[in-house]
Amino acid sequence: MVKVNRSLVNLKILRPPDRAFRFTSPWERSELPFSAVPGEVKYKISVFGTYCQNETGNMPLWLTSRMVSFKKFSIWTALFLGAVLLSSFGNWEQDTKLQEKVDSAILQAFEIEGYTQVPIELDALVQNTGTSKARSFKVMGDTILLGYAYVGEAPSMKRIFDYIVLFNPDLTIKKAKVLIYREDHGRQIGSQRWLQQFIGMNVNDTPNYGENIDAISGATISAKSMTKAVAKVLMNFKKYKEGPPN
Amino acid sequence: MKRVILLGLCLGALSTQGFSQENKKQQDIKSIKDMCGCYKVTFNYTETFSPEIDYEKKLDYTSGAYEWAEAIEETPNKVSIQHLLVLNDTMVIKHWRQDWLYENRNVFEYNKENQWIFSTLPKEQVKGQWTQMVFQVDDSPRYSGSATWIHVDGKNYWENRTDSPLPRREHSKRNDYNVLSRGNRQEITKEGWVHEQDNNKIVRKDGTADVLLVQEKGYNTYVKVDDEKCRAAQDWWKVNKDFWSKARDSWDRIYDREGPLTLRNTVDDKPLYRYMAPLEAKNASKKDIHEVLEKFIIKDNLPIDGESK
Repeated sequence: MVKVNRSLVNLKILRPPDRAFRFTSPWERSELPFSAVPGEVKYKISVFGTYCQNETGNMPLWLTSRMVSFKKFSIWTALFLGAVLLSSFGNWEQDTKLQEKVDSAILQAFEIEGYTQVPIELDALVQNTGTSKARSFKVMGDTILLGYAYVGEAPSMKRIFDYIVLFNPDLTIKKAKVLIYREDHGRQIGSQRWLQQFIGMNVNDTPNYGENIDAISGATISAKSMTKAVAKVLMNFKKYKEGPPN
Repeated sequence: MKRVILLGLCLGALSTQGFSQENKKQQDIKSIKDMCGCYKVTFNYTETFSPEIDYEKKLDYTSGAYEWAEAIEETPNKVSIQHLLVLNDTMVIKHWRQDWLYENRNVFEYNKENQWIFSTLPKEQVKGQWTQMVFQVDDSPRYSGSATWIHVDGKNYWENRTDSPLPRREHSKRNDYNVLSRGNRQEITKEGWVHEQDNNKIVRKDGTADVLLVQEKGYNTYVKVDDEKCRAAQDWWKVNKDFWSKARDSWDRIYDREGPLTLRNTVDDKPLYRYMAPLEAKNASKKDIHEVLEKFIIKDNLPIDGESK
């Protein structure tokens, strides 16, 4: 009736043997008035099922103590919190790596040793690229405008990749780079031999895959995706250049 | 009678094995010495694969020259070959030196930041092997590695992987990696020999695992030409070999150690080879040479991070 064997968690009593087991919290005291010795198994709780097991057999969880429910809840809570922590650490690591790559790309492209970011706030950027992580900013060297940068995400075959488009102060493209790519297939789009086609394009240009941008055999999806992404970035910067409508 | 026959068979088997080993060793020595002579050399390097998509491959490196390779020392267990570049028929540049040592146990391995770790290999590990020790233009260490010379299917080659500092061609131009893990393959060919390399450019930091920046293919061909093409180098060596013999002796005293040897890149903003040139010009004494070399040695010579890697 109950598939608990695979996922049972033993609850063992670990109190000293010289006195009766006494529960201290209200819910334990009211629900489980029994004595036990250390190491004795009183309940086995299924982590993944809705049943628990004691010496008399299996029973549905709703018939057992609130303690059992609480333990089960605690396990799920711990698992959930662990997953959240792991996930946030993974995100933090990814964000740090991306930021390092952004900095490296900017320093190399502008041939500088340091710079400051001044964010450009344009709603259109997020709307048009469809990613919440997209950001754009002025690249400042002391008080001098060196150019602009757009950091965004675009889809590859199964996942997303991060890219950067760097602009000169006149809003022509200085460089485009793929920063993080998460698939084995289609990595050719990272080659500067292909990416250099975007260099020099201005906000009035529209890159079109297979027309003014060469196709890449074996990386069609990613190459098309990068071309569309750059086209959208150019469109956004055109709006930025034109300024807000009167 | 049976015992005598058995003993004879055993002795026969042993002497055949000994003969076979000696024969193999002579084959090895022949291959090593086949690298001597005058060669037209081409140096070709190209970066291949990088694990990071945003890495931008550097331009290929190609160069060429005539090179004279002379066996400057030969004993039953050692062959030392000095390479000299000849540019424009007359200009001679002392190039690298490769020492080959049979069943040698004392090696050095590059760590990082101009530090080499000197150590002793177990006897059983080097049985039948040759250590190649490679030295820079000023006879300071570069890299070393032990392996067996292979003679099969009409091929004669030796290959090994070992760490080294940045190559001279990138030494002053790059700081995005600090260790070159060199895959060396030296094969004797009909035309001369080929030095093929499968290199990994590595970022090595204390307390973290090595990070691969990019891989590199090297393909250097040595095509044998008339010795006359290297006449300038032969003459140059006759004039300067005494000085460099003293320099090698001085270095050998320094290399006689266990543990790290860390060298300064420069002293008073000058690299070692710029100190060696005037010493060479006046055929300086061992004492003078040693005094200069000592200035480049960092005295505490503690391991950089407590570990070799």
